[in-house]
Order: sequence, then C-alpha cells, then structure tokens
Amino acid sequence: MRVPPGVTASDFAAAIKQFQAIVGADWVFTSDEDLNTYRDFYSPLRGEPTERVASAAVAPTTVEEVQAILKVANQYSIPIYTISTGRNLGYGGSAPSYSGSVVLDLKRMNRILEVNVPNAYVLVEPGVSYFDLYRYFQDKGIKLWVDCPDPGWGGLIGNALERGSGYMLPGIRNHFQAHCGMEVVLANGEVMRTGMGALPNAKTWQEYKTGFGPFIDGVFSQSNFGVVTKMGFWMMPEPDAYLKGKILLPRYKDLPAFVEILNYLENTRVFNGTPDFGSPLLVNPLIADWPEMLQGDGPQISPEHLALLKNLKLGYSPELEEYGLKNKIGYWECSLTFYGPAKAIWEQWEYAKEKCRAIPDVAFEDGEVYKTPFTPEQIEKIHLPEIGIPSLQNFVFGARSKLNPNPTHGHLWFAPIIPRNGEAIYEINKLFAEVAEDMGVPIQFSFALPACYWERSFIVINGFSVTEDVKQNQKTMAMYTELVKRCAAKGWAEYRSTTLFHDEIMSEYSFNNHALLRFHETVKDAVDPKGILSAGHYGIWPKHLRGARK
Amino acid sequence: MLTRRDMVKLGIASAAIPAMAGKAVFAAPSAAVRLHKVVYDARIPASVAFGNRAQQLGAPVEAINGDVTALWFNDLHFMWRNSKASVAGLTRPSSLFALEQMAHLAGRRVVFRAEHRTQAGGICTHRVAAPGGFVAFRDASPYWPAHMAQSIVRHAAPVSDHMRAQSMIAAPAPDQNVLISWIIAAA
Ligand SMILES: Cc1cc2nc3c(=O)[nH]c(=O)nc-3n(C[C@H](O)[C@H](O)[C@H](O)COP(=O)(O)OP(=O)(O)OC[C@H]3O[C@@H](n4cnc5c(N)ncnc54)[C@H](O)[C@@H]3O)c2cc1C
Repeated sequence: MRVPPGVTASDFAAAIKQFQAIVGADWVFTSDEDLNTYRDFYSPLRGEPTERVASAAVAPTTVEEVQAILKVANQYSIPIYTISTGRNLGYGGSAPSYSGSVVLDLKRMNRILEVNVPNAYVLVEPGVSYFDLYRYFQDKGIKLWVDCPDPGWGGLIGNALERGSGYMLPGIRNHFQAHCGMEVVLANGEVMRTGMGALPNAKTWQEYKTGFGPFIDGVFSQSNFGVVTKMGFWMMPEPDAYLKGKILLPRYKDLPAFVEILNYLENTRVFNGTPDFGSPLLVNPLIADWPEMLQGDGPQISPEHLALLKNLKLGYSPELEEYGLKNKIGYWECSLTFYGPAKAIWEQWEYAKEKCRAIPDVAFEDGEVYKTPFTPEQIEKIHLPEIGIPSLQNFVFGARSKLNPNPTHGHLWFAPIIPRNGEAIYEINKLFAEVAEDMGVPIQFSFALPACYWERSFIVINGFSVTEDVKQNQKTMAMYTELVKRCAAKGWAEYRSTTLFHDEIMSEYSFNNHALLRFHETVKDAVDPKGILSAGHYGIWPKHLRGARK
Repeated sequence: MLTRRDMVKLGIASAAIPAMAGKAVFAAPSAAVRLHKVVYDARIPASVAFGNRAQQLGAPVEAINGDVTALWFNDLHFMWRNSKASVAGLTRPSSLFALEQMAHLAGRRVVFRAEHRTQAGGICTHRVAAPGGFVAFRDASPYWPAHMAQSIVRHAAPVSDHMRAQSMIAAPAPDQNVLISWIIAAA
C-alpha cells in the first residue's frame, strides 16, 4: 500500500480502516489498479518518478460521511485532495496537487436536490455531471438549459470551483458567477452555508447570492479552504429562438477597430452568446468548428493558399492578405450568437451588422433563426454546448488530422487573460513567437486568437501537446514556465492552470510582496491548521509544508 | 490471429476471458459476462470490416462517427447500470479514450486492448497490451479486422502459429494511422 508523505504506515493503515468503517470497504481504494483511475491522464510527467499520484481514494455518499472522513484526516494528519466528478483534464485531472494525498472522491454524492423551473435554478451535489442534469431535464420535459463546457463529462460543482466556462449567456457561462449559494464542510468537519443559506429555514438560498456581510463564496473556488457539498446554479430558460451570424474582416489590421465594436455590442447586450474568433485565411477554426475540423479531412484549401501559409510573420504576409481580398476569404471571422425572441434577435443581428459596417469591406454570413424546439437537422449544425447539450465530441482532439498532424497524449492548457482590445492580440502573439523561437517548442497556431468566455477580457488559450517523449515534455514544461514569466512581465497572467504550475503562477501575483498569497496563507492557517485539505492547490500550502517549499 | 490461448499466455483480459472460454460468446452467453455490443467507426474501412464480421457472427453492432456521446448517453449509460455485459470495438484511440473515461465512472475497465498501426506501404502491425508493456503479434492478412472481430466475438479459432511474443514496446500514441481493438468489461 502507498503511504502519504509524512504519515507513518501504521497511522495510514489505521486511517484507512476508519475510512472503510465510514463509507464501507468497497469505497476505499488502495490498489494500484484502482488508483490508476485517479492519475492525470494528460500529465506530462506520466510514468516519471515526479508524477503526482494518490495514495488512496475514498468515496463518500453523504455530508456526514465527509465530516467523519475529515475528522479522521485531522486525527492522523492525512493530506486529502477533493474532487467532484474528477474530469479536470488539461488542468491536472483527478491527481492531487500534493503527491501522495488521499483523493476525496465525491462522485457518489450525485443527487439533484432541487429544480425550480419558474425561477430557473437548481441545487446539486458535487457528483452531478452535466450529462446527469441534462438527462434529468430531458426525462422530465423541463425547459431549462444547462450551460456546459465542451466536454459534458465534468460536473457543475467541480467546474465552477475551477472557475470554468461554457457558452451561453454571460452570467450563466461563467460557471462560478452562475452559482448561487454553497454548502461547505470545513476542515474541522463543521458544515457552513453561504449567502442566504446561513439563514435557518432560508427561502431564497438559490435566489440571492450575497446574503449579509462579507461575500465569501469566492474563497472556496481555486483554493483549499473547504469541501463544497452543495451548490445552487442559475440555469438558462429555453429561449424562443437562436441565431448565429458571422462577421468576416478582410484585413490583418482590422482587429482593433472590430474589438471596440464587439465590446460595445456585448456590453449593451446586443448579442448575448459567446463571440467566437477564427481566421479563414490562416485556417484557424472557430471554437465551434473544432470537432468537425478535427474529425474530418480538415479544411479544403487551394495549393496556392497552402503555399502562402508557409512564410508568415505573426500570421501575416501582404501576399496572403492580397489573396484573401481577391478570393473574398476573411482574414478574421467572428461569430455572434443571439438567444431570444425570433423577431428581436434578427433585428439585433441587423443592428450588429450596421455597427460593423464601419470597417471597410466587412462581409457577413447571415445565420438562420432557429425556433425552439430545434429539429435534429438544426441541432446537427449547432455547437452543442451553445444550446445546453453536453457532448464528448471534443475528444477527437487527440486524433491526427490536417490541422493536427502530430497527435498527442493530451495537452496542457496555457491560458493567460489579456485586455479586451485588438492590440493586445497582436502583442501576445509576438510574445508567443519570441518564446517559441527562444525555447524551440512549436506553438499550436501561427496566430492565436482569443476566446471570449468572460466579459470584459480575453483569454488566449493555447494547448501544449503532451507526448510519449519525456525530453519533449520537459521542453514543453520549460516553455510553459517561460511563458508564465514573460506574460507576467507584460502584466498578463493565467486564469487557471494545470496543478503542476500553480506555484509558479501564484508567485507572479506578487503585488506588495505577495500580499494576496500571504492573505490566502493566513486564511489557510486559520481554517485548516493541520493543512489536511488539498495542500499546494493554487499555490496555497499549509504552514508545515510552506517552509520546505521556499 | 489472437486466440484465447494467446490471451491466457499473455495474462490479459482476465475479466473478458470467461465469456470467451472455448465456445462462441453469442452461442452460449454467460449470464454474468455477455458481449452487449460491438462498436465500429463508420468512417474507417477497417473498422467497418470489423463491424461487418462481428455482425455476421451474430453480435449486435453500433456505428459511431468518432464521437461516442450518443452510444454512451443512449445505451451504455443504462447498460452499465443494469448489466455486467462487455462492450467491444475497433476504433480510433481518441474514441476509446472518451469511452474509457465514462467506463471508469461506471466501474468498468478496458480489459483487452490491441493496437493496429498502419505503416508506410499499407502494412499493418499489431501489438496487444499485456502486463508490463505491449507484445507484438502477426497478422499479415488484409482481413485482419475480420480476424480481430472473430477473436473478440467468438474466440473459437485455433491457436495461430504466427502469434509470438516479441519485444516490449512503449504505450501507443493517438494517431490517425492507429486503430485500437478493445473490450470494456466489469472490473
Ligand atoms: C478537450 C477538452 C476541452 C475542454 N473544454 C473546457 C471548456 O470548454 N470549459 C472548461 O471550463 N473546461 C474545459 N476543459 C477542462 C475540464 O475538462 C473541465 O473544466 C471539467 O469540467 C473539469 O472537471 P470536473 O468538472 O470533473 O471538476 P473536478 O475535476 O471534479 O474538479 C476540479 C477541481 O476543483 C476542485 N474541487 C472539485 N470539487 C470540489 C469540492 N467539492 N470541494 C472543493 N474543491 C473541489 C478540485 O481542486 C478539483 O481538482 C476541457 C478539457 C478538455 C480535455
């Protein structure tokens, strides 16, 4: 049996026995075969001595069992790592931040506790996946949409606590922002409810977020201060109709003017779905087109076009631009999504086009207004998470295609937040190119386009390949480290990352001698003095491990 | 061709083997372990050949297009709740990866995994996952997908002379030139 660091074999054996008494022997996992399922399937350290692995896993079904487990963990100082559905691929999977921790697997706590259709909210346990909730709505004919990330196998609570995202309305697709009320088991085993939930017999726990006094829900996201056992989420009621229109910008330099218009249109809610950028000329697909592009033979482009892609500088050459203008192929494209009454959204699209006509030679592709309920043929044409349908389509990601000639064992997401303006897009690409050249590691695209999951800022998401080649993976990790540093020097930083880089990224959030991290550590010491919960997660270490780390 | 004896020799697929022991799975399905469905990818000729052969042998088959969502959502999700039956297939690694993750959540495991890699010139090499690594086996026939279906579905074929353990090889890379035949069964 593996043993967590700093714990004696006899103490661990005693703790395991107590875990078994709490949840039943079948739900405590210690064999290599079972623990294999808690590895990070995308780890660049897979099979290396430094790979982060669990020493055991325990899967409770009730809040009382969670409380009892934490009591035992405190008694023997056992490090615990909490997961909900455990599908955090690209960001560490189910593997603990602190190798050797016992995974507290909450998948079996999978009850949908409340669905309020008129007020469009749900209250769920951590094991409820997007698929579970979608199935529940379908089975009961409930006309609520569940906003899901690209892969639907994860769950509402785990994804929200990681501050993940989906595709629908701004306040809904930001999954942490969409939550309303939490129940948390603290490290000492005490159960706490946030927001209106602190009121015994509360009637508005899922209807008003902040309650009275400090709004503390945020400290339980991307952290290690408690085990969240319930969360409320606002859902999107099925709208009357859906429309997606595409804007095609002909010139390389069109981005700054366009982004200003885009921001205005979003901030005044002219469109309300996630804008999606691509480049037909650079053959960078829209996010919505990824599954199709990766599954099929890739885009059909002429030999002349292909040749012009060879000698680009930061995704540009005058010849390529000329080719695009001549053949009416947009340098950039951006799709806008509208949810609402059929007539209104058509008018909103017309208004968006009117605003965009300020850009010379801009072109448009009108989408069709699809009224709900959609026909199967309409569904076929829509990126499924945009209409609340979870899917696994994206796992064609690993397959080789024209766009992905060197398929991999997974990827590490590198995702810095940059300002919402066009200049920043060119600037970060310049930085990516410099770092790629310095480090000799290729980047995914010749020009990275931003994702617009969050309002008011861009994320530039780059997937770095994990391969079988240990040396290549080391190079990729070195590149990642370099990017973290050089982005920080520019005033940009990542919103989330694989657990391997939590320390590095957190150390860049260093204003006033790391005042923020020191505050996290103060909280950590107060609420989890033995440091049993998810040590090291998001760079927050318990006192007894902090010194060793520095 | 890979036979049950080969699998026993290699010490793999222990959960799958009882159902295959000596007789046709569909002729004499065991109540405990039964082959529920054979999955093939309609976009890939070798996979289609695998599916066709499995169907000829009486197996229920289902086509996918790379994406396993519908297969899992409409079928396996329920099957894995109520039955210990196995599922088999010949697909791209990426399809198996997604399905394997869902299988883990339902307490199922990949109990048999063989990789078929098309080399330059169209020759396909085969290797099977065994404890400690991969073991190569030979099937130079263009009908290898049908043989594979037969091995998996029926396991009634005699031991192949060609089948021999060679060197241990590293884990497979997801690759357009690679197909995986697999069985997912109750752990
Ligand atoms: C191809 C691909 C595409 C992806 N696309 C997206 C996307 O569009 N959007 C997106 O957001 N992500 C995306 N991801 C990343 C990931 O798959 C999802 O974010 C997934 O939902 C996270 O896994 P989960 O929901 O099972 O959360 P979990 O793995 O259960 O949880 C994530 C983390 O949150 C913490 N945590 C979880 N539960 C608790 C709890 N109860 N109490 C305290 N802490 C807890 C833990 O630290 C845990 O590691 C993608 C990944 C891949 C491979």
